Amino acid sequence: MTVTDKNNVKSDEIITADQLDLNFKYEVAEEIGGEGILQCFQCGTCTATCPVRKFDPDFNVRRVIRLTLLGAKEKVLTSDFVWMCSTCYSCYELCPQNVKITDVMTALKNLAVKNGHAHPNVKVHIPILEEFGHLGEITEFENTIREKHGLHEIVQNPDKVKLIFEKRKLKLFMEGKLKDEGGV
Amino acid sequence: MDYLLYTGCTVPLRAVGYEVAAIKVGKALGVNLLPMEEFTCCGYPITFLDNDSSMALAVLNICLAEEKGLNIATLCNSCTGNLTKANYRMKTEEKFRNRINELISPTGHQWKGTIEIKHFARILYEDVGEEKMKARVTKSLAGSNIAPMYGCHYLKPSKIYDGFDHPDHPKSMETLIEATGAKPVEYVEKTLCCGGPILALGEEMPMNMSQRILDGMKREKADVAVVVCPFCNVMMGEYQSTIGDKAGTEYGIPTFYMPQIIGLAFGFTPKELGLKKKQVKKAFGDILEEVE
Ligand code: SF4
Ligand code: SF4
Ligand code: SF4
Ligand code: SF4
Repeated sequence: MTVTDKNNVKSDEIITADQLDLNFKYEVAEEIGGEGILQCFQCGTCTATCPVRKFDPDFNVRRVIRLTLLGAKEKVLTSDFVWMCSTCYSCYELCPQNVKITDVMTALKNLAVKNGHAHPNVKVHIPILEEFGHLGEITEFENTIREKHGLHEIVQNPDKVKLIFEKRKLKLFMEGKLKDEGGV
Repeated sequence: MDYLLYTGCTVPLRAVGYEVAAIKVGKALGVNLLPMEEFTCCGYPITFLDNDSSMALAVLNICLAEEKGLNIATLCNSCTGNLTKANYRMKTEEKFRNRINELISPTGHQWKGTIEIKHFARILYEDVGEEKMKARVTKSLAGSNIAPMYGCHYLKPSKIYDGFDHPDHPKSMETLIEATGAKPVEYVEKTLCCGGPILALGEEMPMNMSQRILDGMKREKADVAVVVCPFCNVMMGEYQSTIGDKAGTEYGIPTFYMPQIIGLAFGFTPKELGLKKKQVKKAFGDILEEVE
């Protein structure tokens, strides 16, 4: 039986050199605080401290970093793991090599998006923000409750949020059509 | 002390009582939390899709506060994290600063680096202090064992928070609990992540992660849990009975926001703190004789 784990590597599958993109690690290093990835010496402290890993042994953050350093680009960017990091910063605090793993995981998510693999459940946030400027609508219902408590009324205005998204060409980005020179 | 209160998206939708209580308690201690209409989402949830956009939204909100000349007080851990991180990077990384200033340029704002962001609990701990709070207590909560739930983004990454508290062995929440007269419950799970940010990907993992925290509170015999983030409350409070069903147990640990328990000790009524009388009686009935 072949088992596919959450890192998207089949248990009986051998990664061969011709599947590897040797440039991948540099692509990650150019992203959002992704530069730390080159410092990883594979000690496994991150995996040991990860609270997600505790409940799913397939989520092995050290292994994701190793796969990235090897250049297994497709496997990493289409894996579930990058989306399962809860950004708790436990590993970030403890890594002896200052890899800033939480930021590396964010870089991998952003790269997955750029390559057209945005997770559908996460994608939905963009149109909501464009509509309300917040992650939800504040209706008369909420404002009535606020008034009862003596709080100010909230009038939502998404204009500035939209201006930023337009400047960023976020739509193209989300469709995997924008390759920019690396994030910040 | 004047601060602009940054409520973000979750507080007005799911935790109005937190906002109400923070304003009341702040006022009683000389910390004015002022309303600010123009604030938008801090950008945290889109970090996963595009960190540039996320950071730009955070910086937009920082600029709005800069133009009022006031520091920001926050109530949500994740808002605190995203805003503080953006401010930190604007200060320390030139490439980042240029790029984000460029992204927000169509809004007409530019970042100047003149304000700070602080979580309301941190303000109470650092700027007000235990003594001043104790002096204001009229109804001690002595006899209650309260478990602090820190969550992650209130403390970590520690380098952006000027070391105001220890990332693994913090004490700011314990200090505030002690000021009410109650006893803080010590349990090793107090700084663990509830899994809230990955709730959109499925309930099972966050429920497992939160169960670990609730189990710790129960093992150490907590009467009450106190949180400093609306999303921590979603997992510890709103999900508590569902998690209990799954675990085959009833936790029975009522959850409150930090300013609410402080407000009770200051003699505010449940209603004034956005609480129901029944809720307070259930949690503190034996201790607070009269709950109006
Ligand atoms: S803790 Fe740091 S150095 Fe060790 S495996 Fe994880 S990322 Fe690499
Ligand atoms: S930040 Fe992500 S990878 Fe690191 S410990 Fe937390 S959940 Fe695991
Ligand atoms: S962290 Fe959450 S609640 Fe806070 S502003 Fe951002 S999306 Fe809204
Ligand atoms: S414990 Fe959960 S809600 Fe609280 S800060 Fe961490 S991820 Fe956010």
